[in-house]
Amino acid sequence: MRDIAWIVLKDLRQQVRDRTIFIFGLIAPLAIAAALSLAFGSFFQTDEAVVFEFGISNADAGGPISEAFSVAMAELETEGLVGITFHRDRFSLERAVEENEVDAGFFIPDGFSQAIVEGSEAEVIVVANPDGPVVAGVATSIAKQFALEVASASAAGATLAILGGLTPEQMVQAGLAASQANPPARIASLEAEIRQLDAPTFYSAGAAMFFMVFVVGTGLLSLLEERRLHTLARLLASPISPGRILAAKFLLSFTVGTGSVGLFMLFSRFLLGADWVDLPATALLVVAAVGASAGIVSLVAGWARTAEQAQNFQSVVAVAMGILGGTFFPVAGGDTFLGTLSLATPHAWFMRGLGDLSGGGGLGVVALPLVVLTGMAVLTLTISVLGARRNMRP
Amino acid sequence: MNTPVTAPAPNRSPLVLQVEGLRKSYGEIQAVKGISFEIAPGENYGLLGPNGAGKTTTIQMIAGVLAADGGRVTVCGEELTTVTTSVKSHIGWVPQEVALYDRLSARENLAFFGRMQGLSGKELTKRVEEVLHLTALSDRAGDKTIKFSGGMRRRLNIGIGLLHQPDLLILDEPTVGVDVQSRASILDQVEEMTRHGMAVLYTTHYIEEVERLCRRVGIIDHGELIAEGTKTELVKMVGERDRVLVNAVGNLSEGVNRVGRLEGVHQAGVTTEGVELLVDDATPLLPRIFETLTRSEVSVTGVHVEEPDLEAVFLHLTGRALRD
Repeated sequence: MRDIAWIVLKDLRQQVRDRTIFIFGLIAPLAIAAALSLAFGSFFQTDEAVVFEFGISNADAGGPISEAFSVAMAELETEGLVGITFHRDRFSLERAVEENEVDAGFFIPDGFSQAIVEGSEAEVIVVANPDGPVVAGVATSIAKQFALEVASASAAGATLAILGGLTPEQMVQAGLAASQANPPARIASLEAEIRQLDAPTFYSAGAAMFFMVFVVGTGLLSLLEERRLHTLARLLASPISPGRILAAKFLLSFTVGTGSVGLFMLFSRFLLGADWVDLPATALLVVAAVGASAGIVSLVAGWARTAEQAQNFQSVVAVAMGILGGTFFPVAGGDTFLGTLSLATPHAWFMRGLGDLSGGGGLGVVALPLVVLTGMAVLTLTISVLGARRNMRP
Repeated sequence: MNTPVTAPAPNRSPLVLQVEGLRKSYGEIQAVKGISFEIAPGENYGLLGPNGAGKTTTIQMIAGVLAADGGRVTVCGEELTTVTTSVKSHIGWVPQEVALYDRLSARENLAFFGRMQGLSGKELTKRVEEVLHLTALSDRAGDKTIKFSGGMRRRLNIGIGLLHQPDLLILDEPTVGVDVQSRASILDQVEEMTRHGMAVLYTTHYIEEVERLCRRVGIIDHGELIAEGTKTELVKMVGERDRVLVNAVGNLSEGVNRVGRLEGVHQAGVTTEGVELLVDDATPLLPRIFETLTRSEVSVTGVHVEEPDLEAVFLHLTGRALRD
């Protein structure tokens, strides 16, 4: 391990003397986070976690399924995730949305429950302001999640019907009862899309992730730079195996990535007021996100033949993943194409993990982001290590 | 540059380097075509060839930097590959290009590469200071190498190869692009290594360097070792002869006629200056040549002997000059 440590220390010494690492790892993200927080902080209204206000107009009053929807929303309100107001008809709901009394609304048409019982098509209409794509995305997610619950309940009811000879209405109600017996699953699936970070924390986290991608390529860039300087050949002529040289380069990426994000988080807490809750869980998220980002950057930059080319590849990846991953602005819910695509970036999972943590609950609530980020890291790093071996030549 | 170099640890193997049938291709191009040679402990072996002859590829395979397609390299009795590690500590490789970290000082560069060679603690500190002294860089040891002149960088480049006192020092064209003063210093340094028992494999396309430094020479062209031996052996091998230019006056035609009949003289002719002869070996023949010319009423005022050099050998073997 000593030889690996000496290579990492030598590279770190050069990085520190070069000063680029401080620009990308600390100064630039601090400046961007501060600027975005000042410019767009009003989007978040307050420094507290955002609670979206939803309106509900139920023209299917008394229907078992529409009532179940109201109950589900009330559960979310009890959890402090949303606020709910009821409106007498669709017109008043739409006006409330237009006048920003509520962020978005749900209109349940007359005969909604009956249509479902009869197996016909039924829909919950989402009323949203086109100027608020994020809220619209969240509202759509809620409506789709509820539709999934109903579909699942119908399937459960159908099973019971086959076994017990129930009527269609009994069948649906039995299914609903079965689905409501397990409400936490429903709430958990919506939670991440509803929770939001306050402005300084959101933009600090986004800037940290965005610029981290520029520094996690350090290891691979350093390998290409060593080839350019012919020092790689000299290392290959030393009594150290090529695999250990490669290990040192990836360890360098990881060290620089975690170090710069850690330092940035410390500075952003005191200078920008970012609120990093649950430090151990946040630290795990950072480690997993750095691993995943290092893997993705190395995978793409690994195609480069020179350090300059690799730097260009890295910049393209950083900007694309930064925008797609919602580091500058929240990306609309996971049901949109963009939302689904954003889940391919470590940024989206990192931001989602931090959002989950902001609602409390500790390590357990970030299990999914951690698993996904770790999976991304293992997969991409394995492929990029295999690819980087072709660079281990004079 | 005159600090004595500590002699390497005694090597129990009779040969420091044994290269057998080394081959390397880049796509369709065969860069090295089955090269074989050996180097004994303390021997200075020169690999002479024009640019693109396959010298660097051969050297890189011997240093364990480049994987060979075929053949075998044995260093101090141990077989070497790109992934074997322990055997590499017997080798000190000085690449053709200066391979230094610009943002590190000379001392930091030496310390880092010393650690990569397994040196540590007091031994590392001692060797770093010795090499700094040897390369005359002690007073600039703390400066970043980016501030160094080309000659200083070259000297440090060689110094790194000497840090761990290897059994075999491989120098790949160490004087390319170096000023006259630094070149002389580098050649002195190499002579010093050999004097202290280190085996040296020296590649160059400068004839005078090989003639000065190396006892045995391998001539490489188009990836093949086309001839090998001492300078005298190589010259004899290709049948090259000494040229004797005699400044003389008198009955030159009679003198040429008589001298031309002497054993060992292959060609004789009259020139504007006197007489020109082509002989097998000038040194033992000169007294008989003078005697014969004097008896022919020719008065000798001066003589100049041109021995065939490796350039002539290369020309003879390949049909082209070394630097074409």
